[in-house]
Amino acid sequence: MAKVSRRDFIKQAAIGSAVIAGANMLRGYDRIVKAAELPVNAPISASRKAIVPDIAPARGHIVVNSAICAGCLTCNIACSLYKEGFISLMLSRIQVPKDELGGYVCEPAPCLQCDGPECLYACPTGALRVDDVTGARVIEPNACNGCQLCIQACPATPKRIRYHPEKKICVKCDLCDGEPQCVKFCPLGAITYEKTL
Amino acid sequence: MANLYGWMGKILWVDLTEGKISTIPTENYVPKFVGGRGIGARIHWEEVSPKVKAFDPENIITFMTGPLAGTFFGTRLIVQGVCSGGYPVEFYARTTMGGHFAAKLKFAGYDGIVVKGKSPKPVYLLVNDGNAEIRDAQALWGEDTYATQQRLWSLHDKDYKMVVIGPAGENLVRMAAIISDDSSCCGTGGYGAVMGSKNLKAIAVKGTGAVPVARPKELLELAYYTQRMFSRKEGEKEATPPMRQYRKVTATTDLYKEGLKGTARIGIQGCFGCSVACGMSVKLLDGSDVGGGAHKCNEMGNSAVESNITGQTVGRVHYARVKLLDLLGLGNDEWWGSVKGFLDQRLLNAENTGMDMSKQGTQEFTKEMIYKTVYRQGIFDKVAEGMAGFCLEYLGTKTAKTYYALNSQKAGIHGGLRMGNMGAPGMSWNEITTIIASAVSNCGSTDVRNFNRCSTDQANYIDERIISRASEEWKNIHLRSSKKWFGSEQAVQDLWDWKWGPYSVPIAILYQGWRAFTESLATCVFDFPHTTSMYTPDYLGDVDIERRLYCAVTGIDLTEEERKTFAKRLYMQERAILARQGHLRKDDWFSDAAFDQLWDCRKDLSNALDEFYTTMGMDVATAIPKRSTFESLGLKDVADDLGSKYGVSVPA
Repeated sequence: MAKVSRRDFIKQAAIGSAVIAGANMLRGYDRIVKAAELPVNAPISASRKAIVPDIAPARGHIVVNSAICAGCLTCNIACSLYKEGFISLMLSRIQVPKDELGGYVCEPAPCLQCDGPECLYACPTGALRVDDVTGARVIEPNACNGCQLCIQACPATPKRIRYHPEKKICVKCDLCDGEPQCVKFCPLGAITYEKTL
Repeated sequence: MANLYGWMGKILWVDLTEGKISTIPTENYVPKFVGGRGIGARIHWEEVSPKVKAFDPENIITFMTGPLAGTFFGTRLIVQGVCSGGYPVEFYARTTMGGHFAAKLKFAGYDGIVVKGKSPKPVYLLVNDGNAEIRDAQALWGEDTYATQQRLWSLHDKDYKMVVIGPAGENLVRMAAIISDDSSCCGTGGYGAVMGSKNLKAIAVKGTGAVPVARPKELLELAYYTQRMFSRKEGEKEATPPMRQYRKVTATTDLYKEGLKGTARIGIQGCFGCSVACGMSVKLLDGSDVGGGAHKCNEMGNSAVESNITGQTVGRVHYARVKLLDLLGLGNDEWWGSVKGFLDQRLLNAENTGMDMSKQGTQEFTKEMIYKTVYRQGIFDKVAEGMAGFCLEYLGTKTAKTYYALNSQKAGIHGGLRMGNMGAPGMSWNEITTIIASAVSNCGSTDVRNFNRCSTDQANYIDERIISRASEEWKNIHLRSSKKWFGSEQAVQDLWDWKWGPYSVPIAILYQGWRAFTESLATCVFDFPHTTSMYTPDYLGDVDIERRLYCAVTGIDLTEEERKTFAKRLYMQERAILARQGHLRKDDWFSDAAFDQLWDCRKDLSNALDEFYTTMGMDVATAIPKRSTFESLGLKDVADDLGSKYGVSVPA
């Protein structure tokens, strides 16, 4: 093999990197083209979805059993106290809609940590991202501008994201670093945390 | 104003006569009176004259939360005022409600609502994030409690929590209840009628506020610790519905069996922040039910008169009764407890009711009685006047008077309510400490708890299906509990043996004090104090939890001594309310019939009262607190006013 000089080596490496970067750009360009091909009335999140790389599912999900839920709202207390330092029903990341007069049916509504997170696609600032450890779809508070597009995009009812009127940002369930407090404090075991292997 | 934690800082003050709303600072009353029952008692003392009767516009009804409302275990609303069942002198008492109204009131920004006066027309209060308005309720007057809530939800929004009255309260039935959601209820004392007398149909609250907590991490740790002692998942690792209910009898009920079969949906219902969830939600699935309903508290106890004729054990007939009572706003304990007794003693009979007595216990018979009471028809118009009104004022026969004497039990000027709490050997519900606490109660005996209630299957502390009450182990657990909390095994042994001894009065005072604190925070007597626990290695609990919860939430490091001082302060404040109405030692007593027919413990009780008054710093002859006692509790003004304003001689 011919001897390669250091200069040549660096030149080769630089060209190689440029080729790889170019290829990536082309792949990104493909996505942009795909986005551009969307109908004009497609939501912005659709185009962002086309651009954003594949997102791995969350590594754990909160699962609820509404037949057991007693509507005590201890999950609301634990969640807001843990995340905010005070107790606020409206800032709890898990809500519990109820039908009090129809048999007191309670339907706890945690974030579903969607595989295809519309909230993330809708976020214009990139504040909504995927946690490295849990895979939870989380909002980086410093990057959030409080536009609430994520709330609009959330496909669930009730919406799983809350607006924090004092901080003027959005807040959502982040699975509490893998130890969800709602699960810990639910006195009936109606909320569980199921980890994906 | 210093930063307040736990409390929201404002109490809403509503004058229905003037149609005016204002607020007063909670700090006028806390931390000295803590919250809940403490604040309610103080406001009553300050604002209501001793001559005021239940339905006078001058009566004030207070809806109080406490510093723990809206936090873990902060479940209850405390309602106080002159109750509608008192006789012969109408008196101050208290009632409580679980559910979610108290918490919602905190999130709306208030620690309580005080209502005085009388509106010229039916109204409701609408409270939302610090805004409060009096709104016209004429279109709601006459509606049942569910319809009222549904209409207000449609008119405003579903986020509101309400306390409402039904037609029973509107018609001033002296057993009328205040209802929230499907069955959270203030039943004792007929306060639904007090609201009705004010033309106050409902109070609706909602808010986006936050309950501030001084030491969040400490509260989370303490809550976790407390839950290990009694949260339901400790005992039910396999959480499959329909779960066994809090009151263990429920698994044997017909409704529960329908839940297993799938003909009814049986669910669990929990008050805000509670780890026990003792309510049983019911919805029949064959289309015969409109909406659903629930059973709480004593509503779950089977009625023999229904079983005997229907063959059901807490089945559909039972459910129909409880639901109709909730809909129309009539207290189950108050009304059903009274009416069953009246029928049993033939105070209500075929002649004076025109009803077929052989149908007692059937759904049709009960329904007819409920409607007639609520709408005041025939003799049930007199039943609606309460036990005293019916037995003493209307009937006046020997049987009726004896019935009253045996059920109200209290003699003197402050009798009347259907819970004298007099006990007798063999009774499972009461004990010697109940007798003492009831005799000296300042709230018509509505505030009495006992050892059995604290640590028996009623409160789920020791699960009798696992450790039988007849077993040595059950006995040993409670002997250990007695040693730890009362200082000696002898204490509980004396209770079991119905023996008056050196522990009788100290335990009565201890329970009184626990109850006073619980009802001021306000937490639930089913949760606290946890003398025993099914889930600890030695089956003992921890009776100091509430105090530590208070410290973590408010940031105020209340010591056990200070907690006891508060309990005593509350007792003396409430005793002053009675004393200015002329209450003396002779009124801390039971009727002759109660002594003669239940248990003649006159001598022992008299000795116990001597000891109680001496220990508490009250005059032994008159049962009036001494001035030195008032002053040591920061109630010098009460001693002064008793003397100068009310002509009561306060001993030194």
